[in-house]
Amino acid sequence: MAVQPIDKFCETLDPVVKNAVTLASVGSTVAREKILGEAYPESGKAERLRELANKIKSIRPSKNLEKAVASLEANGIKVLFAEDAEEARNLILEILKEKNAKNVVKVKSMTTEEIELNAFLEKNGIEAVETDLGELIIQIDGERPSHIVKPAIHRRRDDIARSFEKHKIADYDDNPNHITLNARKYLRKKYFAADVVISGANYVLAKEGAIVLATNEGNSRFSMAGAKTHIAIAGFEKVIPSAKELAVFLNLLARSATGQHSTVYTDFVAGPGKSKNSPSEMYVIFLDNGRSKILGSEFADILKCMRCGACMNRCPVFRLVGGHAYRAVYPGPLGIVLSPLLAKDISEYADLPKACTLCGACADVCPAKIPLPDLILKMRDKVKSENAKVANDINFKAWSVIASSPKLWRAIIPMNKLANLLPLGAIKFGPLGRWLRTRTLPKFKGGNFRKWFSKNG
Amino acid sequence: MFTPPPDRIKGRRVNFMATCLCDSIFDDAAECAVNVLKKYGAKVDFPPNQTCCGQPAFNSGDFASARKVLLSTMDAFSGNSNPIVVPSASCAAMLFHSSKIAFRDSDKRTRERVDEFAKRVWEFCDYLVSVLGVRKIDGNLCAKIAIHNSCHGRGTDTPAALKKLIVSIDGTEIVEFKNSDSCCGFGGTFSVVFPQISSELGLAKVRSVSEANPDIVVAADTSCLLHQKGIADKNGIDYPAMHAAQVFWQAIKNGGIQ
Repeated sequence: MAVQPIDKFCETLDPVVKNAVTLASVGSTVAREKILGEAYPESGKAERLRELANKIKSIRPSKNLEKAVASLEANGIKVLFAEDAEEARNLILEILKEKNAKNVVKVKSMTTEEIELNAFLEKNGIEAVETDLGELIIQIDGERPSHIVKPAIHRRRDDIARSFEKHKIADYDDNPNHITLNARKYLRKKYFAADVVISGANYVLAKEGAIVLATNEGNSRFSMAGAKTHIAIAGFEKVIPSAKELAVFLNLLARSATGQHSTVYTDFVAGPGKSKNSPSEMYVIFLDNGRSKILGSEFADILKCMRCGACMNRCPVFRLVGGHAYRAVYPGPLGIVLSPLLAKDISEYADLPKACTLCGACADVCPAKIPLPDLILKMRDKVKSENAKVANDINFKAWSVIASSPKLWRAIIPMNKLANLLPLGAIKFGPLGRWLRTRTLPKFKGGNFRKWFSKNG
Repeated sequence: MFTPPPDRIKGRRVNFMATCLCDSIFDDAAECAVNVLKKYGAKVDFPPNQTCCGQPAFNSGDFASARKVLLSTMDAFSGNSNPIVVPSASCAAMLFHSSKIAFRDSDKRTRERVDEFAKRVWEFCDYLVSVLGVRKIDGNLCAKIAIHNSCHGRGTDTPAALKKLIVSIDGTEIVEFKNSDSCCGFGGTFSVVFPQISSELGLAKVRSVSEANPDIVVAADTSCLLHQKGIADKNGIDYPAMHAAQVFWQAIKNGGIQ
């Protein structure tokens, strides 16, 4: 019997990993709630801020984008556009070749994960080192992030220490402080050797012509100090009107993501630097990769996402299985809407929107108030309408005939009592079999209420 | 979220929608709901052509099948324009919120019909408090009660109404439990399509509720309880699950029906 891949993943997932993912995501949810309460004790204020974020992100990106390009260029930044992942990768490679660059340092960016940049650069003989600790941990083991904000959420300190030993970064030492110091020592050499730094952008300010990077480890600043060229890549939806609107987002981003009032570092990069210790050239690449199509569809709201990860931290399914279960770059409630939209072939991720109990908790915490449950339902409709096959799917054709014919319904419902005579334990297949694997069923009492009502109602 | 329309139709003469689960399994919950509605002054009709809210197909992405069932349901309740009371937060949310998504691409007339229908739909506890103005359930019930807030009550007045009414009963004591705001993993068809995840979430819920040692676990939905109790039974855990209507009616009976 075909099994849902994500359900199978859950069944075979190491309980230790499961526990690590659960603790980290539940912890982030608790921290988020606490700090938002601290920052906005007045009832409804945080809510109004979230509504404002939603409104600002409702402004058509094309309007901001035009302005952003002009301002960025006025600040001496070269602006490029990439239609899809392949074009983005090639644009980056061209710049690297032109600079004769062999060593790249990277500042954590989900957009570069989306275009699968690291593997591509490696194939082209370029060393690209992740400088965010979590990203470094998964990079050395050839893994994908299991969370968009905390990429190594599934890892524990002892197996990180073993990896560091295996990859000759440091001798085995699982003290978390020492792991950080060892990474720091290792990365210091990489910063000095770097020709180019590649980053994403949390926000692009259209009026000021600057990008904003929110980080916690200072790695973005170290990266900028060594490299001579800075390439930032961002989906065009990251553009916001000006620094004034940024205040709304910075008040929500870190609080929603990690339960901090603000990230430790907030970098504003408004063009190449003038000193020796900063890149003398800067590029911003705006990535489409399916976003224009999303913008014109009923899924446009998903482009309001600020990548804080609050939805996945709050999601009962994500908390149990972690990001790797989803196979795609973007996991959790965000991912089950966005990943099928970004995919070349929707059937690759047709099962994703089903991996949700529709509990709605994600919408409760989304800082941009994206109606995630509605989008997830619409995605299920889209997948079904486009005939993508989903394992373990139930066929509702026959049921809908019965449930839309009152006569048939009244005739059939009382017959369910016959099922009470069956040895239910023997049923192994079909929806009923899957239910009974882990649960009992009460007695069927079909039609009893109708009889009672006609006498007592 | 699953927020109902702001301008819902009120009135004391109501149509009772039993839901497919009460029609086929939980007849006692539906009976109690009707008894409680009548006790607090509602006149209850039961349109016999009703079947189901269409949610199983809708949540599975089969919107065409869901629309077919929803159209039949709207027909079944077309004999009058009175409120429709549903003993389930989930089915109510399907009828006043999700139905609009199911018909979003339909013609204007159909969409208007769906919108009008949505305005008539009330979840049982919400209706008792918001329309009938019930402040206190009469009678008494000496019990420690754990309240499971079903997810589809999010964004509605159901959780507040349920809690208010349970607290109002003489003799009840509410017991808190860990992760009370987490989904129990039922999710309708999710429970059979993702049996592993659904059961793990369900067992976690059942265990955290049981740790609080309640005499009764109450919810506004029989569906979450069906799943939770099924898992508890399979794991040898005693799980005294009751629908809100059953708890209310038990208290009223204990006080002697007037």
